[in-house]
Amino acid sequence: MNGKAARSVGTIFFVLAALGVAALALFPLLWGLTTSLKPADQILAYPPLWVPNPPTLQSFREVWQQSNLPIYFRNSIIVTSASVIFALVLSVHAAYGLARFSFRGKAALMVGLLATSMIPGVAILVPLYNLAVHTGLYDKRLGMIIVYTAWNVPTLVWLLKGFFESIPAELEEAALVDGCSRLRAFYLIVLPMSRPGLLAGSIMAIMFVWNDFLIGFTLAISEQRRLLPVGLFTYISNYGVEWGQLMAATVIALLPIVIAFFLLQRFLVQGLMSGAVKG
Amino acid sequence: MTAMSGQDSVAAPPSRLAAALSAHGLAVLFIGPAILLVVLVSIYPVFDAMSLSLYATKYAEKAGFVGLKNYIDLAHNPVVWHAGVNSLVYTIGSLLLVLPFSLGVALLLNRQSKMQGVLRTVAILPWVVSQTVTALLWAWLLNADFGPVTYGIDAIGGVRTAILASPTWAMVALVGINVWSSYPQATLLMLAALQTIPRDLYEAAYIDGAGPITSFLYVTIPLIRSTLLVVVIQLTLLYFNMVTLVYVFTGGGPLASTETLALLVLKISFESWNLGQGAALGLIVTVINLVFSLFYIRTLGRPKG
Amino acid sequence: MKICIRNGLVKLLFASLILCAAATAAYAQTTLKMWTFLATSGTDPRATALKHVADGFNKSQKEYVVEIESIPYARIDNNVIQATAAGQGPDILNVYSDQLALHVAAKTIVPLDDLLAKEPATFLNDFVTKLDFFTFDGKKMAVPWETRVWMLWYRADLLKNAGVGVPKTLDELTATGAKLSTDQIMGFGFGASTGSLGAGAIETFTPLLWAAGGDLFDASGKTTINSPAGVRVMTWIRDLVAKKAMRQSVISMSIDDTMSSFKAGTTAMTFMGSYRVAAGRAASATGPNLQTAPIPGFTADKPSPARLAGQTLTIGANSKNREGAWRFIKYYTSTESQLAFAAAGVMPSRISTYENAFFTDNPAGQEVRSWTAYARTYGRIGRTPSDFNKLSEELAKAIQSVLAQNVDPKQALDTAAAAYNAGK
Repeated sequence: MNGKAARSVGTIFFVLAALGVAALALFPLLWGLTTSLKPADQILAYPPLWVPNPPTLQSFREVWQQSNLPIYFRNSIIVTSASVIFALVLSVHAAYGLARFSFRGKAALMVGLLATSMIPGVAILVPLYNLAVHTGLYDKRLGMIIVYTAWNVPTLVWLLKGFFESIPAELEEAALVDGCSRLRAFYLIVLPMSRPGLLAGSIMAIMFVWNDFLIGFTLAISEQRRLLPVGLFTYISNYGVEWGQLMAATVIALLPIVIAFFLLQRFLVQGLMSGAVKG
Repeated sequence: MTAMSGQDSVAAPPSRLAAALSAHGLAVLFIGPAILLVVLVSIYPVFDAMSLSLYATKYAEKAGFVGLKNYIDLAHNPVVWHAGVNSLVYTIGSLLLVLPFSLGVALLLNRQSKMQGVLRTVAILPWVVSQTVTALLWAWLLNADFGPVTYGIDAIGGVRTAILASPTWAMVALVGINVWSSYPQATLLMLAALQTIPRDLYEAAYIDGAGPITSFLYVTIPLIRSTLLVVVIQLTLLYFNMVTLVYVFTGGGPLASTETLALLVLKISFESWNLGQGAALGLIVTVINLVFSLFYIRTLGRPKG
Repeated sequence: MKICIRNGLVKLLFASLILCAAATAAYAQTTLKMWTFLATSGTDPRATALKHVADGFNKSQKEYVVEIESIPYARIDNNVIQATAAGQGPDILNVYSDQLALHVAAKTIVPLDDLLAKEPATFLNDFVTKLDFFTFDGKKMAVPWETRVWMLWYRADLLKNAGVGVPKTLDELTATGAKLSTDQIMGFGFGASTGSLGAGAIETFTPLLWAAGGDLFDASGKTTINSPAGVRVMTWIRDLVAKKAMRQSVISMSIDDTMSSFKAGTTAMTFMGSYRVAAGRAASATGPNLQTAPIPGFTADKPSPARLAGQTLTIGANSKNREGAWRFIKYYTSTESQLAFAAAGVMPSRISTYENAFFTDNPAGQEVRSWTAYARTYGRIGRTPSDFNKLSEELAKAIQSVLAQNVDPKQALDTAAAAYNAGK
């Protein structure tokens, strides 16, 4: 009786807390969504209107057909996927090397790698800009891809190294005995087993690149090379922010990442469990 | 770096595999490219910044070697010290709010329920919203003239507020939206840690007569201690170095009340076009980052006893 | 066999490459890059006009194709400096007259004297703002394509509802603003934040400073905003809030926020430039309720001097197509192009353009003409130094400290002047 009552109080508390968190997380986003669906004259109405009357896709149309958003969108897709793939390829090998080989100075190398993630991006923006100019990578997607790749490597290496260490080395030994080559043992046995770690790592990397502002802001100048976050910033135009269009653009920018996140979130927690938690 | 020895291996692999793998070539091939890229893109620029910080600059060009003048000028500039204080208030204030809140949410998400998938996605959602969008969205919600939050406060409390026009409240609002945008990251890591705690431990604690609070304090906290350390370090660095959110939300105003050191680096470099001084301040911020991290690892990292 | 195929493929590739190269050579058109703050799409009528001009140029000749790159006005100057240092940048660069000195100092633009030398006097003497104004160190750096003047904007609907008329003096403006202010509406407002380059503060302050007999700079380039005239203006601004004509929240608003607020009908009066009128009216809620009047002075006998400025065209330092760029500049300032912009509420920069019937027969043209008349009578243009943005920012901070922290107007302006003058 007592336990039952306590449990139902617990459930009520759980539901209330869950609703509270959901409301807090969703409130600003819902505001953005309803704004994107409002006719132009209702957007700045005061008192504010919560429900568009009637809802219209006008802002979406303007953004998708008349602005350069599709270009920014394409650039962001290219830069994000390329840099995340490059970073994964590099990190997978480095992490495996660091997990399985032993050599002098390995601990120092790991600490050094971690320390580079403590260099604030804003502190090296100017040197990176100079570097890009001298290598001819200024205002090129490749320049941004290289920087994002490098910035993702340290975290990914740490995450994946933890993962590889949790996979028993006996498995690979068995494969070696069976006549598999080292490389094949790595690619065919270790990598597939590390899927949760790879997925968790990719989500974090995707999220970082897709949302980053500073590098796109500093290393690219032309509209043809502009990334989404910088493109969204340009909606702050010469005659006040076009809120309807900005929100429509935001919704468009959010969609792929929300979908990706919804599909991958299981792996994310799973992956982080075995990787980063080791600290 | 390529010299092989089994001495300081962390997870010493069995000798057979070690022998199979200990070809110099493969080690270099596997680890080399990643390290090379990091050195080129993260470490070389730091040295470049060091050099730049010793020069006077005119717009985008070096104008002449000035030694430590940029650092001395920064030290004598009250604006820099003011920004330093703002950075501390911002970082510490955000941490104090985010840590308990994100842990609470993690505990919530760790509970079994039918809605787990949806709830997790919803609760983590603010994380996928970029800092640019977060700042623009909240600046509008809080806008003194047509913001819905302003209207809500007006309707309920009968006061017409201008949150972003008050130096104190602007900082409070900035910390608030920062909490909104960054708690999911902490929650995710904590949730992952919570899931590694075996259920039997709680059952054993329950049998020993421990209530929920006792088992939280004596089972949960000690077991996620190392994750908490990681979270604290990550968030401290994130907050201390945060530029985009502040830049777009308040731009440092009103009255420079939200101007942080990291934002000042950007402003000095690209708005006042003093690249040398910007590089100097950027390096100072880097050093502070390293000091922070060392401090945490010293005080929190070593398990007691 | 395999190798054969590969060889074949390579040859084919080569052949097609050469063909392509030959084809492009035959139809070679040089691309001219223009960087401007205007977009070529969206709701601003000026965007449509720009697109019309660019398309018109591309159709009018076969040698050049102009491509428009639009960058928000608060960022364009920095981007150009950055790109120019990287050896890149535009052929044609749009520069706002207040920022010209910055671009000259940062060496992002090059003199136009050799190109201007070939032009007839009918071109050289046809500008409302004389080309001499755009001379730096004896070299002509820019050609204006637009003139703008600051005015009092008011919402006719809100004034009518409150039963008040358009204010003729600054004291009247305060009184009118107080009458217009309600829980939702701010009687008068301007952007006093440091956002958007602090433009709202300096653009509001300057005409009043002139009306009070002061000026922004002395002959040596030091600022004199802390003169008695400056203190008088700052005191008036403080009293706006004290007398409830304006809310203190303006310190968190940029000029763009003021614009949004005006469009939303939550700000009833503001000082804003002529160039935004068309965009302001495009918001359906505002429409014809947006009306303009001269900026009042301290006395009823005459309004404040009208601040003039304008957009100009320049040639980028790294341009390899000076001739082509110059042709586009001439096209951009031709009567036809100027009329396209005038239809979007832009005051043309060339005197001869005003002879067109559009300015006498069309209501929109008549309005533009009336602004020009106002600008001719009361207009005043001031040279701005390369660190003008710094003064704007210091002034915005001074206004913020007066409104938010009750700092004495004189003291706030002294602080701002000292910060700006340091090292001069």
